[in-house]
Amino acid sequence: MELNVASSVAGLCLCGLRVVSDFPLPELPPWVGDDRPADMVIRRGKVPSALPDLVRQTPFAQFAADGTARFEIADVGAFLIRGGCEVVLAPRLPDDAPDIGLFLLGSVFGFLCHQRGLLPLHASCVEVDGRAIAFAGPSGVGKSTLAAALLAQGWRLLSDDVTVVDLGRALVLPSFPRQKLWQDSLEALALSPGRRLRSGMTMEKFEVWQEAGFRDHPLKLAAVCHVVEERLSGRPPLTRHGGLAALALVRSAIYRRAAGEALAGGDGIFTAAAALAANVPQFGLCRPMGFDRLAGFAEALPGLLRERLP
Amino acid sequence: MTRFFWLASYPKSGNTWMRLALSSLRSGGGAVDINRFRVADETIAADRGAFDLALDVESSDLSEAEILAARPAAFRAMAAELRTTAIWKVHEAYLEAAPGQPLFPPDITLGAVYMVRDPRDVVVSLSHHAGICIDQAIADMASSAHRLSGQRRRAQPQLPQPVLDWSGHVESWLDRPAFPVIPVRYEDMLTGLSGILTRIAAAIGLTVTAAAIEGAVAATRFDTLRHQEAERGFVEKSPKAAVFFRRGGAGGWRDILTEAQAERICTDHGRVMTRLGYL
Repeated sequence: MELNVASSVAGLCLCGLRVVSDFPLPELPPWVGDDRPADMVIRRGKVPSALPDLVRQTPFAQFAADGTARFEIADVGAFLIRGGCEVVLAPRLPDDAPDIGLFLLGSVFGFLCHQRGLLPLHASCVEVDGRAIAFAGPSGVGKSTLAAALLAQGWRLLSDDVTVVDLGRALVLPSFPRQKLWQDSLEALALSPGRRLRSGMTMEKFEVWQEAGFRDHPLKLAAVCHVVEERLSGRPPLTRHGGLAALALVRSAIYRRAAGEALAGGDGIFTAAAALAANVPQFGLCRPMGFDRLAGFAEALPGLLRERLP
Repeated sequence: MTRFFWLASYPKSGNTWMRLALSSLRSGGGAVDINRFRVADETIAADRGAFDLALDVESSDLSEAEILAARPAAFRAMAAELRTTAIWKVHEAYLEAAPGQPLFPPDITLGAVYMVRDPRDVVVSLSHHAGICIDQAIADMASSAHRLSGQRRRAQPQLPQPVLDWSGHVESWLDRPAFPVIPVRYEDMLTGLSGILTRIAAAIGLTVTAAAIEGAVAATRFDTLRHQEAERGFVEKSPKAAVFFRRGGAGGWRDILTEAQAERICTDHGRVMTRLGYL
């Protein structure tokens, strides 16, 4: 596809992709790689109100038979995602509102990853002991908080909430140094919040900048820890899973999986999950509830991983 | 079409007991392990992961209004994936997500059980469960804006659940749904669970024997459940509560509530309490 964007627009980096955007995305670090053409273009434009030939539709997203996706949050804006390389954006908020970046770098980029054949996991990823460890799990289980607690121990962030894996090379592609954290986590970890992520709303969820603790180079994915809260005492913190259990865990950890199955086909997603389950160790990780034992847990975790990984 | 069957109640009104009894019943009346009784198709309707997967969105990035408006569509998407009747726990009131759009769409609903308990006992149980004082529990149950897992300061594994005030909750479920609702009083579960289970089994199309019914009643006796929790804990216990299976029974409020507290509950909810035979 011909990517027609003014050359004066600065290049940005997202998961190793050279991104050219006419919309400000302060979350993304500048592109410092080679002089390649843009891998991904984000531009303002008209987004059609509906796509033809739908294979999947929800109140927020549509997926057409040709692989094009459309995403909309009524008060934020609409997005058209095409060919794994283009996002057309019709914002309904000022440029400095963080809401656009929140959804653009979340669901919208997740769809684009599925279009490109990259595997996005619903996970935060931290370099621990020189290894990329992904912490996967559903919203609210504490992935970002655990990652922030590990950063407080001096380890480095590769991605927050969405971890993109290049399956062919088993590499985690670093995303950007912005975390999303709720007020109670910010207080417990003594972190300074940036903007409120949903402008004009009462949700106390904020962006947190972690530039100093960001690793901007890809790293081989050493393990995926599927995080659950410790609701019964006496369970071991780290449990290795293999076979079908590992496959089920990986499948449940795929970010925007139903959309991926619509875009890449169920077989494609299943094959990707099977490859990740077979090639990367999968663990259940039982994290303490609340914050009282969080710092101690984050301190002990590298030692636990060291015992279990080659 | 495969549809949902909702197990609806205000919190602390017998929902978990009913889930355990139905789990036992579906396995022929065998013993239940309180920490392993979930079957694959059983969950809480407010499960955040199920909503996010169904709608391709991160609900924790949405406002409560945006979530509520999208929930009927989420249930429809989930219904399309069901293989058997899904018996899901519900604490929300029977609300409209948007004008003319019931939160729990009748077209994908087989029916519901609505469990209700004397609000004076609910207040006592709620204060233990949520780690709040009795007066706060009374105030929460009188507030039409009250909701569970409100999305304000911290991450929540469940979606926000508007419950209305206790009277509003009861009337919403007993009077509004355009699908069959079996009303069940907690107090009647204490004295006649086998008859209630027989009615529910018929409603969900489950063929059961008398032995299976009696097995389910025996497997979920309060002492059995409390003993299991004492030995091994309970995964669904609130971190703020000392125990989940605390006392059970009916009328325990008489030992706990002051006269003024009991009177306030009757003032707040007298009309509905009378309707249910609690006054």
